[in-house]
Amino acid sequence: MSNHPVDPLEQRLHDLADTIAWPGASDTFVPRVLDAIATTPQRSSPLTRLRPIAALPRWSALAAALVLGVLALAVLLALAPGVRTGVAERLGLPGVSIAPNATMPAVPAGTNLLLGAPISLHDLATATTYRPLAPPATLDAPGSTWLLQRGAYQQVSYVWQRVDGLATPNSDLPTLLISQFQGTLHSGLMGKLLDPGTSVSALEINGHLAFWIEGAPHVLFYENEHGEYSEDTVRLAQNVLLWQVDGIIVRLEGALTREQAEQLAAAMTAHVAP
Amino acid sequence: MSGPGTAWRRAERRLDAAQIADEREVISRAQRGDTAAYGILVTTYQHLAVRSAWLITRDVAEAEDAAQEGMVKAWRALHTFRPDAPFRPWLLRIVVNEARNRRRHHGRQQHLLLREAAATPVSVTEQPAPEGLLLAHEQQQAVLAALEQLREEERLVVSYRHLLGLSEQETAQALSIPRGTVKSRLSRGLSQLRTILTADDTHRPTQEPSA
Repeated sequence: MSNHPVDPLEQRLHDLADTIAWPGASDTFVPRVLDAIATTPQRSSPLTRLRPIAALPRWSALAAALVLGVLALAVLLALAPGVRTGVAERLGLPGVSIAPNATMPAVPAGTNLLLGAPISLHDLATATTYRPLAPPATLDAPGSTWLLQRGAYQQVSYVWQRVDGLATPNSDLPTLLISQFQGTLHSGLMGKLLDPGTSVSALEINGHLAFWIEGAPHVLFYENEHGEYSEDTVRLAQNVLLWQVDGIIVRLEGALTREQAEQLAAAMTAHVAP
Repeated sequence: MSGPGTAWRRAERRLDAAQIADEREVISRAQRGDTAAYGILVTTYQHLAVRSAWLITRDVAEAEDAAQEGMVKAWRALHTFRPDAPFRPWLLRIVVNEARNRRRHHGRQQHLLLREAAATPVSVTEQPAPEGLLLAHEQQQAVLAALEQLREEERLVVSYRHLLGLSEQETAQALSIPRGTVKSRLSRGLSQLRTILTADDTHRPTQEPSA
C-alpha cells in the first residue's frame, strides 16, 4: 500500500474543485457541433482514402438517435406539447432519447413500470405489429409477459421476479425486466435522463451496437400520445443494456453486471413465433 | 449553470480498460467519417472542453463558442490523431488554442473568475453535506482569491492539474508546453499560493470570544 503524503494545499485545491460553479456546455452544444460537421468535410489522409468503405457502421441509426437525443430531449421538454412530436419526427428519433448531465425531475415514490396489460407469450406474435424477440434462450420462461399499447406504440415486456444467479434488487423492481418496441415509431417516446454519476459505454451485442448504462440510478420516462410526461411515467431505473435489432429497440434492466447483461442479450436471437 | 462537482469529476475519470477500448472503437469510426460516432465523443467531452476554455477566456459564452469551434476543427483534423494516443488531451489542445485565439481577438478580461457553486443537489442519489460546505467555505474563498492573484501561466497549470484533474502529461499537451515546464510552473504556482494564503492568515483579525 502506498503512503504518499498528501500536500495540504493540493488537497484543498482538490476539495475546491468540487465546489466551484463550473459552467457546463449548453443543451445546444452537441447539436450545433453536429450541424457544423455535417457540412464540414473531414480532411482525409492518404491511408484513410485507401481504406475500404464497405466496413462503415450499421449502428448509425441508434447511435445517431442517442446523440440527437441530447438535443431532442432539451428541445422536447422546452416546447409546447403539440410541437414536441413534430420536433422528434424531424430529428428522426427511433423512439428513444438520452440526455446526459440532465437536471433530474422529482421522482415519485413507488414504482410504476408502465407494462400495460398481461398477455401470454403465445398470443404476442398475433397481438403485435412487429415480431418481438423471444426471451433469452438461457433462462426459464418469464414470470409474466406484458403488452403496452399506446396508439401505434407497442411495447412488449418480459418480467422475472427471481432469476438464479442474479441479485434481487432492494426495491420493488423486478430482478430482470426486458422491454422492446419498434424504434421507428415516434409516439410513446421513451427518454432517459442521466446524471453525471452514470456512465454510458458502447459495446456490441451479436454484431449490433449496444449501450450499457450503469452507475447512479437514472431517470426513465415515457411521453404520452400528446408528447407530455407526468409524474406517473417517471421512475428510477437500474443498470440498463440498450440495443437495436432489425428496427426493434430492446432494453434489459436489472441489478446485474455488464457481463451478465451481455450474456443474456446475446442469448436473445430468436423472434417470437406466430 | 453550475457544475456538478464531485460526481462530474468522478464520471470523467472513470475510464477503465473496457471504456478505453470502447472509445478507441468510437474514434476509429469517427475517423472513417461517422458523424454519429463523433457525436458520442462530443457528448463525452463537451463539459470538460467548455471548462478548459473558460479558464482561458474567463467568459462563459466565449468559452462555449471556443469549445464548439475546437470540436469542429478536431473533426476536420481527426485523420492526424494517432489511434494509440490519448484522445482527451489531443482534443483539449485544439480547444485551448481556439480559446487563446478568441481571447487575443476580443481582448476581454474578467475578474474573479472562480466562485463557489450554490449548494444544490447534484444527482438523485448524491447530496452535498451542507455542514461540510459551510465549514470549508471560508478556506475555499481564500484559495479562490489566491488563485486569481497568480500570473496566468501558473494559474492555468495549477487549475488544469488540480481543478480539472488532468495529469501532468495531459496538462502539458493541452497547454502545448513541455512536461518539465508544467512541473516548474506547478511548483512555482503552489509556492506562491502558500505564500499568499499564509499572509492572509497572518493578517486575518482574530475573533474575540463573546462574553
